[in-house]
Amino acid sequence: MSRPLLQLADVGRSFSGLQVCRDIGLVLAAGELHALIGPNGAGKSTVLDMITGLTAVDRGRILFKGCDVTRMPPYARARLGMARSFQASALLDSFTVQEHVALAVQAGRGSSYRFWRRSGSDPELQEPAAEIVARVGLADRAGVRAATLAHGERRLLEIAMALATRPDLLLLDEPMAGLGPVSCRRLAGMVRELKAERTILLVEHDMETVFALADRITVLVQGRVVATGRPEAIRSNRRVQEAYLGGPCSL
Amino acid sequence: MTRATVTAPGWPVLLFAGCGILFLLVLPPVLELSGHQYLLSLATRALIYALAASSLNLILGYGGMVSLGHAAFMGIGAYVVGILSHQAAGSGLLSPAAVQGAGPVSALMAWPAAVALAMLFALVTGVVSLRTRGMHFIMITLAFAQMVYFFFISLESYGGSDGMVLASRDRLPGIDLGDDRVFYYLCLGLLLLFLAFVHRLVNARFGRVLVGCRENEKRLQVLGFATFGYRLLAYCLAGGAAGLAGALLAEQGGYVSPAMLHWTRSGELMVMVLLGGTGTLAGPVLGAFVLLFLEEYLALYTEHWMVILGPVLVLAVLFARGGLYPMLAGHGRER
Ligand SMILES: Nc1ncnc2c1ncn2[C@@H]1O[C@H](COP(=O)(O)OP(=O)(O)O)[C@@H](O)[C@H]1O
Ligand SMILES: [Mg+2]
Repeated sequence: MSRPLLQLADVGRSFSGLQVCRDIGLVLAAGELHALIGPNGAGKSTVLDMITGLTAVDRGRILFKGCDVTRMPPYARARLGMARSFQASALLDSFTVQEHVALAVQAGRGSSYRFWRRSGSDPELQEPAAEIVARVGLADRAGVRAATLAHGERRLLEIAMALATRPDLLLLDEPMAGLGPVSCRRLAGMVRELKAERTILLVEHDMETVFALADRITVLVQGRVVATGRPEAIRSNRRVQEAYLGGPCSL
Repeated sequence: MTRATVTAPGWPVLLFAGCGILFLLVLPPVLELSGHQYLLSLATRALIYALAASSLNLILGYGGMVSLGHAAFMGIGAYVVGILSHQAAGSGLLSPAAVQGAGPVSALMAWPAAVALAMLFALVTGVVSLRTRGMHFIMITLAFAQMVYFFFISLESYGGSDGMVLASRDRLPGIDLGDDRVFYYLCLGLLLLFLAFVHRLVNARFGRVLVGCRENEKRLQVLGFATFGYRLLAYCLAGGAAGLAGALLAEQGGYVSPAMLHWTRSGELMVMVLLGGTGTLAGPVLGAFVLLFLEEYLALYTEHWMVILGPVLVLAVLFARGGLYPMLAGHGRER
């Protein structure tokens, strides 16, 4: 088996004495779509924060492409080839849709210490950006400021920005949360498409999508991994069923 | 285009910019013809403060760094000019020839030195202060500025708290800085150059990162930008431009004193930016002119002009959403 793209070994983190994640082991093979599921408050977003470097780990190690990134700042990890979308959209209110994506494209292409050329008319940035904007279906909203976007559009823009840096590893934090059925289906289709191109770690509550798309699933409950495996195995796993019985989701 | 966006500038913006530049160009002859020559020095000071306020706007308006120590850069620039001039005079360079015409020090040496020292100060203090946010950043920039303030007060050989009077303006090859009208146009030229530079900067890749940091720095880091470097460089550029403004102010008034970098001066610069319109190109210029002329006129009527000006400013900031300039040019700044 080839070297895993991402590896978390015994990773733990507590916030003011409360252990939010403990002994997390997670291995992502290159090319797989790995789903991370679990009830609200299980620590899924915190795991993504630790992978991207927004939250420091208390213990354990994180390897990405064979590099120990445990103590690397977020920007260095991003440059190694990871990108994420945020559960609560983290957008730049005064930027338009197109400007968001162009900025993300810019992040992946060389130095941004350029002081003269107008980025708004730089085809090297705007053409790839326009392509990605169209791909997520926001082409007719390209000139609209983020502050005035609808919820679903913000979710799509989050994904467009993550894609624009051309990452090897895509971390998606509940991309479908709060979307209507139509947008949900659309997004599921998009994730399915992306699956062919990149390695994805998908945090999602929509079990239908998760079981349809994931190659493997890891279940997190109260900060611990209770199961990892193929969807069939997870579906029939006793501990998973217990954890979810009466919970917000049913399998 | 004056806003931090990539949309094309609308005609009100172009019209406003054109009228503004035209107004500033014809101001000296108009003042002269109408017998208001004495206002030329006030207008020149307004141009210089406009340069300083615009430099503050680069970090405050576009970069989201609310500094309450910007007058320190002006003070450093002013003192570089003052000290060089004082040294030259003291060491006998102020020969009869120098007294007759040009000043003793070349502006080509003094002004770049002023800019360089202000930038160096910005670099050293920026490395520390840019690690803080919000209220902490305000306080730490204020603290650094107060340090410089007390440093210059303690310089007894350079006038201590009284400051010092300069023998004459510096000399510049081919340009007579001693001529007030020439000096006015030089200040105008430098201001327009800086505004053009800022305009390119904020719309270039660098500026997109800077404005992005204002909106959500964490997000930019996750995209792969090492944001600290961008913010630090912007801070140094702003410091340098404020240093140049300080040098010009020393030349213009013919004196330097610690009062130039009292924290209330930093506050005034901030008021100019807020009043005119943060994150707009023309706003700080408008703010500088309005504030300086208001101060001047209110002072004619009452010595308690501050009591009147304060509420006026509060009302202006409250009712002119986003500043005077966005109101006049017909668009509010969307945050
Ligand atoms: N920065 C933080 N400070 C304190 N507690 C936090 C912080 N981030 C997350 N938590 C806590 O960690 C737990 C897990 O949160 P989270 O990772 O967002 O869960 P999930 O994404 O699975 O719903 C929650 O109880 C939350 O309150
Ligand atoms: Mg979450």
